[in-house]
Amino acid sequence: MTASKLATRSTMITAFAGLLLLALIGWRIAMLGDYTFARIVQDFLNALTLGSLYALIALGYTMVYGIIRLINFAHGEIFMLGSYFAFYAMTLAPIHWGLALLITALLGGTVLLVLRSLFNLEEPRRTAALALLIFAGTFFLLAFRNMGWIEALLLSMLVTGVAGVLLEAVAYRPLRGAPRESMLITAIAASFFLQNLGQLLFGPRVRGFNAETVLNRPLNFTIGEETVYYTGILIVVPAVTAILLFVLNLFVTRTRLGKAMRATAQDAEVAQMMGVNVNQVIALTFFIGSILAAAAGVMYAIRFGQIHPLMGLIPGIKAFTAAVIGGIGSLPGAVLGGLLLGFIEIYVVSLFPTLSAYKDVFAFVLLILILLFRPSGLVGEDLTEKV
Amino acid sequence: MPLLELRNLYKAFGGLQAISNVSLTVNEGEIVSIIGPNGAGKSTLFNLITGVYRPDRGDILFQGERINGLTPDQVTKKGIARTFQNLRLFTHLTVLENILIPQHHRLKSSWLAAVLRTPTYLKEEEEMRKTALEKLSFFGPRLMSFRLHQPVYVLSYANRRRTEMARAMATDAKLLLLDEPSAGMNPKETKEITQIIRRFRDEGGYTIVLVEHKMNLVGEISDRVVVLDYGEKIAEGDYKDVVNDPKVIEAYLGRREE
Amino acid sequence: MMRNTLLTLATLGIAVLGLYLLTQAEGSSGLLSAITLIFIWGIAAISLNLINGQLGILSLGHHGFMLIGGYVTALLMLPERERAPFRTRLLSDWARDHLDLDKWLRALGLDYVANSVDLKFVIALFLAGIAAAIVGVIVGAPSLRLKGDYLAIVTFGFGEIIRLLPNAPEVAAFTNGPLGIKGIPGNAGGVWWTFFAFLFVLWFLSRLKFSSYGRAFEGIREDEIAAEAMGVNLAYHKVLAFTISAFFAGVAGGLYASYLQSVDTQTFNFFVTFFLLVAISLGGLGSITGAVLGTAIVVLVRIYGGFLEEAYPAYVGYTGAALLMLGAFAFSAYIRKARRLRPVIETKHYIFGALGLGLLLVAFLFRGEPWMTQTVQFFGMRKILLAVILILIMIYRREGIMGRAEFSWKLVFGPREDIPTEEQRKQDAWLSNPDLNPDLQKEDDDASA
Repeated sequence: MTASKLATRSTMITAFAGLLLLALIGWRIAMLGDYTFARIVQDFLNALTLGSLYALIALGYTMVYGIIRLINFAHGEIFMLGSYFAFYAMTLAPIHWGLALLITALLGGTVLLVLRSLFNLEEPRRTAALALLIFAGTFFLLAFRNMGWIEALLLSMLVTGVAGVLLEAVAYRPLRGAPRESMLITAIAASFFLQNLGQLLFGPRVRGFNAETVLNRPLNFTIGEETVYYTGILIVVPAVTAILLFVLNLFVTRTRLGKAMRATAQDAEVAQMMGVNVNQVIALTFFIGSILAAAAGVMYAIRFGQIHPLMGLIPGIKAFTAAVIGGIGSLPGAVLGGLLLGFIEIYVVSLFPTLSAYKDVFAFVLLILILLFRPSGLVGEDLTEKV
Repeated sequence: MPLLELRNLYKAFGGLQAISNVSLTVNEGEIVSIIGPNGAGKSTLFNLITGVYRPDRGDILFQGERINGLTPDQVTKKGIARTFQNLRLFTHLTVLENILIPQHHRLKSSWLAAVLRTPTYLKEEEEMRKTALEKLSFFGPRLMSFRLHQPVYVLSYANRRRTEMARAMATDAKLLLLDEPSAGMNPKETKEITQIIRRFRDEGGYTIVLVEHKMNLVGEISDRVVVLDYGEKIAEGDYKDVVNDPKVIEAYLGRREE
Repeated sequence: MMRNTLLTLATLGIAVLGLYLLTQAEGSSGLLSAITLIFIWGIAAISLNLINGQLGILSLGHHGFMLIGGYVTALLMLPERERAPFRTRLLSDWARDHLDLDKWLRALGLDYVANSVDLKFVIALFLAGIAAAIVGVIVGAPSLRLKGDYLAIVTFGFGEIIRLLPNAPEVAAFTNGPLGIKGIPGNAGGVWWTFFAFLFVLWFLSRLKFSSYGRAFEGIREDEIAAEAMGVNLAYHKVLAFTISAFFAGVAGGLYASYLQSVDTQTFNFFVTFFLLVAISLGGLGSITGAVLGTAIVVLVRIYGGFLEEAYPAYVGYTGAALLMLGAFAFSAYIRKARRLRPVIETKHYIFGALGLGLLLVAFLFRGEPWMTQTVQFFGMRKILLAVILILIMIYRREGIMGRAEFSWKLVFGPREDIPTEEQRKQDAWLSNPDLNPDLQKEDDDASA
């Protein structure tokens, strides 16, 4: 089986393309006189950060596609919402206690209801404990705390996760059985809805996102005679990503719900017959995907210092491309694809500066090529030979 | 020259050998039935002939010409038409449209001519409609008059089967591959289909290969019967001979415990 | 038949008359603009409907075809006086001097043609369509290999690539980059031009739909495998549909460029495709009449919905959102009750109901606060409305207004053809029942065992 897999046509095309790419890079490095080791390191760090962000977003795409075969066009907007929730958490809090109470009641109540059904916490004691945690925590944060980036990150992840679940419940669940094209159209509509809702609620202008200076304080170091520009965020992003991936992996492999998710991704009907609550699993998938996208959103905002309501479009497409490159439906594939895309983007711009105007075009070209010639991606099963 | 000739066909899907060294000859004007237990590869054989699958080894010759590797629409143009086991009608289109579409490949007018409604095109449309009515009339008045303009999804199951067969005829084929034409029909309807298949050959001049499970139908109209089991041809010949062949009985019923 | 033709001609006559009166009327320029846009987008929608509706392939790259048509028309039709003082930092001299339809015609000695802006537009739009059609072949090619949503993404990718290219430095030699091309003559963007263009496209694509090729397209939509088994060459027909569709999209793009009298890289973005998608989904995927109807509605929303996007005090937003949520809650509960779905009210409904009430409460309690009374620009409300419309259609009425049906005079005057009349029912019984029908009885005698 493995031998035949290696020998298939599309694997060979991919391998060939990969080798060609490496040769091109090698040649180019040789041609450029000033591509020093310092620059390699610099690019590496940038690429690792960018790739991690893409990986986080790509996971959301791949998980949702794996479970309900839907390309969640609106995922980029979830990413955007994550940034904005954190932004408002950091800039508005602390607020008037009355308003905080109201928001805690509404938002907290929503979060409570959603989490209850997601994680099987219907039992009254567990609900009470969760309620206490959520309400007390939210109220405290909103009313008294000038939130730092970590608190804002966690809060944003929670709220955005719930938003993702609501999106699925409102827009996608009613179409569960519909042809896939209809679901895709709905996803596109949801994407436009959220984009413009963002413009409406948050204003269309670009906003500056000033995180704690501790993250943006330069930690430059030198290699040889060149400085490598380094700030805290370049450590934080890969670290946070690694932590999240680790937790995700634990969840998916060790917990019952995680196994239910994997089962549903393989065959939803049979999973249902085995007693899996498919609705819950799907909602959970959206929750997790949205959490990761929110984390990516916040860190992206810290890294690049700006947010605006349409910020999800391009990273969304790139992350989707990354998911496809890695093999849509495969979690390690998404991570691999994300990192790969990050590296390709940074290094291509660095090695071929004249092509930077075509950066986005390349993403689309890559997407089309992969879908045409290797739709199963790098890690996914080779689908092209099947009848 | 035989109309259809299958020479040592092999087809495997992954590890499963679906068709194994199957050879078959069908002469013009014959009615040949292919029988065998479920999973024997009967539909696969049809798919191989019509170009949906490519044979791994072996040849398929139609009128002496090798047709391996042709796409299904090319195979149809050569003169082979098929019906589907699970009915693949154009459900939201009308009966008439279902019968007109198979004639589209014979159209000589270009799409531009069609838009401009040139006299040539109009004549061709006229011809197609006449042919459509002619094919439908094979089934009596059932699918004519106002039924013509009804979408297929309002028709009864038997009428849908009839439409499917009329569709196959409308492709102007010489060879009809009928995949379980009487599936889901009651005995009276089955009788009727049997007559119609015979009329196809007698009046319409078609050569017919059919896959069937109903032995009474098979026995009544087949000139020859071929038995497949696990992708291999295990018997061929007259209905009476084949039905009493111990290998065939074993394939269907298993071996008698001694 | 005669009656139908007369009716159609009469309607056309009335339309022409109405249009003429409108052009003479005072203060009608707004309405005329709206009508012009309905014609232009109508052409684009009908062309998209060919692929998405009739062929059944979801294509999301239509804005690319329109962009090509727009730019080609712009370059060809740009008059001399606009070319010379052009701020052509990016547009190459070669493009500026040589891509000029006027020059070509005069060089060929066809001065009388070159002197007529209208004739030149006909040629320019035709060439624009051809250019788009050529790209249409390329975009359509993947449809031979891919299906469903993967194919949709690929077409989306193509559309975006085409959208991004005019900004790129090498391509800007022909497109003048982000600055775009200004000063395009507006003749083809006028109401009469677009009216007759629209009628032509309507005629052309209706003829196509009701021809054997149209049936072939629909057969592919219904069941591709069956269509192929029936002799329909999938590759040829799919690419043909894309090519024709792209051609008319290019024409629409050219008309729009003339209407705006300028094109730039923002004119034809993905929102255009989304806009058309809403139009044809609303009208009914597969129906040309539906595409036109849907376009009319969507264009009117866009033009006359401006009042939604003005500046209002913030509490209007909060209250409005609250009322919408409560309204959605009520609507959804009603629909579920009517369709006998269980449970009638789910968690998510409670959530939205509660949020709605909560917002109302917020609006009430904090109504004096400055952040409530300050005026806020309600940016993007129309797009939100369009998105909501599309989602509602997908959930509640996927077939849109018309479904796949087309307008015909029979619908207006004649008896319904799909419901059998008493006469037909009797005839039907007679057709199938051998006891009643002597012809069938004969067969039955043969059939009885």
